[in-house]
Amino acid sequence: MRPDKSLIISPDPELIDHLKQNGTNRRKAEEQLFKKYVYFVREGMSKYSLSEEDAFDVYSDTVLSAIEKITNGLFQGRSSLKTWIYRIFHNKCVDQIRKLTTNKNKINRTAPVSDALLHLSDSAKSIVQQLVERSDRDLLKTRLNELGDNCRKLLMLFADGYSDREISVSMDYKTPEVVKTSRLRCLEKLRQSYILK
Amino acid sequence: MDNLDYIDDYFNGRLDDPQKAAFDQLILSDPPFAEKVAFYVTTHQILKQELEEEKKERWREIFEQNKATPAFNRPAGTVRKLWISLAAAAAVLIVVIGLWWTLIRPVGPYQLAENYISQKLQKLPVKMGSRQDEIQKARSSYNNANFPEALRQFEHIISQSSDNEEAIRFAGLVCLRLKDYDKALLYFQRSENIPGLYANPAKFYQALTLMERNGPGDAQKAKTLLQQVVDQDLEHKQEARRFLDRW
Repeated sequence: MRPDKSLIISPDPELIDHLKQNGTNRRKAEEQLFKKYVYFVREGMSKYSLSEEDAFDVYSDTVLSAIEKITNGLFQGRSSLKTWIYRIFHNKCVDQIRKLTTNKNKINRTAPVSDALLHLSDSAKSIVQQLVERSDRDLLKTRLNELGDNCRKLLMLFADGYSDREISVSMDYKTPEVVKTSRLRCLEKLRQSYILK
Repeated sequence: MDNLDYIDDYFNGRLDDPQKAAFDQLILSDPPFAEKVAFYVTTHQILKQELEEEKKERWREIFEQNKATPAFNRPAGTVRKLWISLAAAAAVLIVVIGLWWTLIRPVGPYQLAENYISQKLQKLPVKMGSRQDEIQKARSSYNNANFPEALRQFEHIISQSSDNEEAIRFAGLVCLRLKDYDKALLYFQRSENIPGLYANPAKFYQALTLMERNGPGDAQKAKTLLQQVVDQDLEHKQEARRFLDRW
């Protein structure tokens, strides 16, 4: 019986290298990272007595958090990738247990402050944060879904860390500048539809 | 749109320090601008969340399709290591159980006696090169499992020499093999009472006979005799101690 090629995982350095890139390599690497330590889900169930769904959610959040940190160069390789990810997973399991025991559910979660906001002065940050909390997120989501496939894809790719240059290649735009202009037009269109309510 | 361009440049690190400071000031002094910044940040957060949900959904499908496979429960290397560990643990367990079964497991007196007889009393030592006297012939009969003939020969010797301890003891052993326990005990008691012997295993053989007979009270009597063998440092002391330990 031939092994399932999708289950063959790249070695750690290659995986990390691909995660730091954008495009197809990164997508594949994200999936590979997910598959590599997916047995943690069982560990979450047996060691932390989480349901399969909770253990899966915790593991998915762990992988997302690890990807974000690796992309931002925060994984310094002082321990093995497995040890590092397991530490994140363990902390998230503990958080999950705490959440379950204190009856806090997903609805009460607040969105994390964008990293870029951290560079603002405290007073400016506080103003923006208050406005963000007052936003009608459901309405914004609805308007986003009504935006049209092309605009949505453009915004999604940019939010996923693709640069305007990479988007111009993958979506056949002439230049990165055209991508930026189109992207900002899409944003303005979204804002107009959002403020009109 | 112009404002969004400025905000986009800020959040993507395209502004220098004075421009960043001006951006900060504008948030404080221009509420519509602050609203736009909040809109930009919220949209970015929602897009990120949606991306994460999409990824989770894709991973959920992969998980559901493959969760029964070994690779999704343990990595191959770990599975192999786990099997090696389990095999090693099983081997150790088998050895431990084997040792316990043969050396430590409590065994009844009858089984102990049976084991001893089948291992140690199958053959009597025949003195090589010695003349074929009557004792040697009787031993040969015993070793050929011809017990009635061996008994007849040993009893003939005893009738000629009533204090021949060796013949008396061997006659007792023949009776033990013939399962004539009462007669065996008589021979061993007679052997024990012969004075001036350097070593006499008769007491141990009496205990062995009682264990083999296994009648009412025999086990307790055998135990007392074995304890005497140990306490008085008599022949077969080691065996007597082993019996007492495993009883």
